[in-house]
Amino acid sequence: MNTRYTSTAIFLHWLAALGLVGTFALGLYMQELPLSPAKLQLYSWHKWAGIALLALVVVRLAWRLANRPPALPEGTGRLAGLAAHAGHWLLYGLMLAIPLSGWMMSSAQGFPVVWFGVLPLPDLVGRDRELGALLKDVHITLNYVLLAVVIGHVAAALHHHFVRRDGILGRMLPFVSRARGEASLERPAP
Amino acid sequence: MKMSLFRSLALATALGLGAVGAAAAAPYTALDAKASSITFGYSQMNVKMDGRFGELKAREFRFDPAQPGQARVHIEVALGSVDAGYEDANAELRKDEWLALDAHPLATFVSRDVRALGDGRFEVTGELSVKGNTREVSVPVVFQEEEGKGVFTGSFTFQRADFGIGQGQWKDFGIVANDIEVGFQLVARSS
Repeated sequence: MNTRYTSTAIFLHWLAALGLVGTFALGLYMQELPLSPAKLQLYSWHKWAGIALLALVVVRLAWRLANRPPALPEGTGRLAGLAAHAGHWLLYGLMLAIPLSGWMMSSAQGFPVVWFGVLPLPDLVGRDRELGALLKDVHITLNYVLLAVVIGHVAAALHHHFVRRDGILGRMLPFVSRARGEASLERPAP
Repeated sequence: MKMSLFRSLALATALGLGAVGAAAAAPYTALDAKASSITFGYSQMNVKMDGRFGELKAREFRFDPAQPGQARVHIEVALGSVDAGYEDANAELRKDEWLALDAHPLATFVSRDVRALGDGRFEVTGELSVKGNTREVSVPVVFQEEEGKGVFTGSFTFQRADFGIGQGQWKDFGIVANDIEVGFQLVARSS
């Protein structure tokens, strides 16, 4: 049984991490700006990035379903295991729902999305200002939920790495040799 | 006798142009502003955006399908009634960089020449004035009669730079394109 994630899964994971942090920060920053060409440009970039992240999570889900991730280390408690799985699927759900809510919000507000200024995407809902305002709230709220879950995700990874020292983080780190990843797993649990 | 000959000629011309039944109706002399609409469209980073103006009125409106050459139209659009789809944009459009609404609250179109193209189609040439700048525009119009009302539909494109619309930071066409497409549906009655 492989104890590390596949290189593809690792690559996709860190690509998503980078994309999520950047797109989240951009979203937070751009909405405070007064209307200007720069603001419109940043909104477009945010939407393009969001659609790219939507495509990325679809690819990740396909990869995840086709390739079993390494099993949780032996000795993982039933509750901890359950929390790990629930957390991961919640992350996937949010990574799907957030770009979709943004896309829907854009449609409802009457701004069609043209991906990278080239590919026009269909409007998901009809134009409706009230729905647009509601979807904006949904989009923002989901983002803060994601922020909270990601903080939990990172905290758990750091806990495993520095407190439990069970090599869990190594399974998802690039450039860590397989031998080392496995060696650290062989260490007896404290 | 001479008059009736002229009339039948006019009727024949109108029929020949496809404005069937139009000759029977009185000339259209009153714009039904409530039933009429003016929209605009533009491209923002390749995204098609649109909006509308809610208030317009005709200072002059005269159109007889039988005598298109004598038609005369003078339309005023209250630019303050602009709705670009969201509040920030509407507020931005009021500024001097865009429409300078305080100094130039109205856009006008005054026809100078109306030419019948046949099949209920006309070409209206006239002067479009926005923000103190006047340019000649040529507008293709489709005329139809619906339930005793005259309906004029069409669109034309102008370049915002010609009118000084969108200056300063907005001058570049990379974000908001130069072409602005105006669409309209004017409904007129024979008062």
